[in-house]
Amino acid sequence: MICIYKHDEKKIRCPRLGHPVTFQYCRTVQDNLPCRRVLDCWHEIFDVRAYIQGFYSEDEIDMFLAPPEPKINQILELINKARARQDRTAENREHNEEKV
Amino acid sequence: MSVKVLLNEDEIPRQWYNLAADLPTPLQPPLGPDGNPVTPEALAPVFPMNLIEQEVSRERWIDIPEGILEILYRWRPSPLRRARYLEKALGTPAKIYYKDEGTSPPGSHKPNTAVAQAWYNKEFGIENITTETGAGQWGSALSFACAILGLNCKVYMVRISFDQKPFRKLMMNVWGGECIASPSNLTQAGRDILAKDPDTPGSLGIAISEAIEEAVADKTGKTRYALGSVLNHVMLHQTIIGLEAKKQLAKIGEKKVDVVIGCAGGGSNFAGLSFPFVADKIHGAEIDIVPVEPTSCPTLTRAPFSYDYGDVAKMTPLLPMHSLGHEFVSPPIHAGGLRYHGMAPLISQAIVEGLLTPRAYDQLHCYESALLWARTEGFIPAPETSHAIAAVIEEAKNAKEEGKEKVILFNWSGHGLMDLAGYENFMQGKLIDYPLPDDDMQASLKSLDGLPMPSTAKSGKW
Repeated sequence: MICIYKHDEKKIRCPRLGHPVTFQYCRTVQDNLPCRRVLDCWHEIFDVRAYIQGFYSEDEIDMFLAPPEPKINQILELINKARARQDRTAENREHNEEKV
Repeated sequence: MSVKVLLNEDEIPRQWYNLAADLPTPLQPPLGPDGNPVTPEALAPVFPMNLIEQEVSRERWIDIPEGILEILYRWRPSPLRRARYLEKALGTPAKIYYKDEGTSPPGSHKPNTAVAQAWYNKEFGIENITTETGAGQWGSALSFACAILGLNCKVYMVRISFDQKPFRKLMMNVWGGECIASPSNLTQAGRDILAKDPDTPGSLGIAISEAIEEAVADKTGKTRYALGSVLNHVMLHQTIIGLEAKKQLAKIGEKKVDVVIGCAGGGSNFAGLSFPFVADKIHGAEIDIVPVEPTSCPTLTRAPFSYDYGDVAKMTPLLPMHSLGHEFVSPPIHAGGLRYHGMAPLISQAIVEGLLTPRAYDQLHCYESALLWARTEGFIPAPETSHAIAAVIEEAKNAKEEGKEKVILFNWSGHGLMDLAGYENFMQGKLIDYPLPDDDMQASLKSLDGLPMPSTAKSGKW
């Protein structure tokens, strides 16, 4: 049985960032799930497909290999998330002031 | 023997070209989660209204303000080069021209839009611009533009890149840009991530979240966000490339271009060169305009035109585009920039009309073409650029067989000096082709079942 950390020290050039990264980075970059390009980048270095299938569920694989959404939609989503964080921060501040 | 065509500063184009004005069938809008079109107001927290107006504009020509031209003169007009050494090696009667966009201060085509976006933000009263960057190419282009215009530029740079790429960070600093390692303590998004994992190396997704939050959270309204690719106004600003090329070709007596070629990745590279020639085609010119893609991800050449989600989770708005289905997962190839399951709506609509004739090439064929280019012209192309070169060589060989003196034009979208590992693998015989099997594609297309189909009405002229 292979260990999930087995390939962590291996290095490759990341096409998105433009410099070398370790497999550990590629394995954890999406909120502790692998990068969606992990198969693309690593398939020549080791059997990354078997590795992925060995350590992640089908649902997780579907999640992190999903193609990127159109940029304008990403931006709309991030605006909504930023507003939600602001509202949450404001609520927390009010809550703390009430306590005081 | 001339290999460069230059324009004087007073010959620079003074308007950008907007393809949306000329498409015989109107561009269909992006749809929000409620099924209604996304409104300009929805984007107002992050973009100034003058740029949003460009994003949704249907005006054919949009004046380039003198203030922008005065900045672009630093490197524009950019050279048009002729690939005479490749022509000789191929023994073709074709004339091959390419636009060199590597001559700007930061060394890429990105300042064409960075300068324009910074200028319009300043006009709108904005004082601070935020963005995200990986290795720093876009961050340095925007820092350069903001420095020239006296704006504050804050760039959220992925922490691992910040630590490993000090020179790009220093480039931004030299131009006065503030480069912040992301995640940071400056935003709630960053603080949330750091609370969970203080040692995180960051990601582009986190960096864009921080840049957008910075714009949204500024109560003074003096901060906006800038993006370097994909959107309509970015493509608009890049059309100066094709408009200059037309003037340069006319200057040396080339009255007609037969083929225009570009690699179809994020869109602005292909659109920047080709859209002015698409306008000629709409108005009667006979030109083949060829977006090139890999056979392993044949979005344009084999996928249907459909409304589709951008994501597997179906959380995003439906967009009309050529799509293999939102559940499509591309096989691994090296030209990472070309691996999208859908295509920009403007380009999809032009394909529906028959204005563009997309082609797909195997990666091995592209690397062979790239080597031939490097061993004749000298420059080593990026993997994405090699797809366009493969099409150029095919066209040049066809011209030889037909005995025709065709004029071929493409955009030199970048060198491959940072992608030599791919060349090494190719030369060592380690690469294989990944053509998409029919069974895989049909399975992926099932995810489109039940989604609305956009209008495929077309004029029937092409």
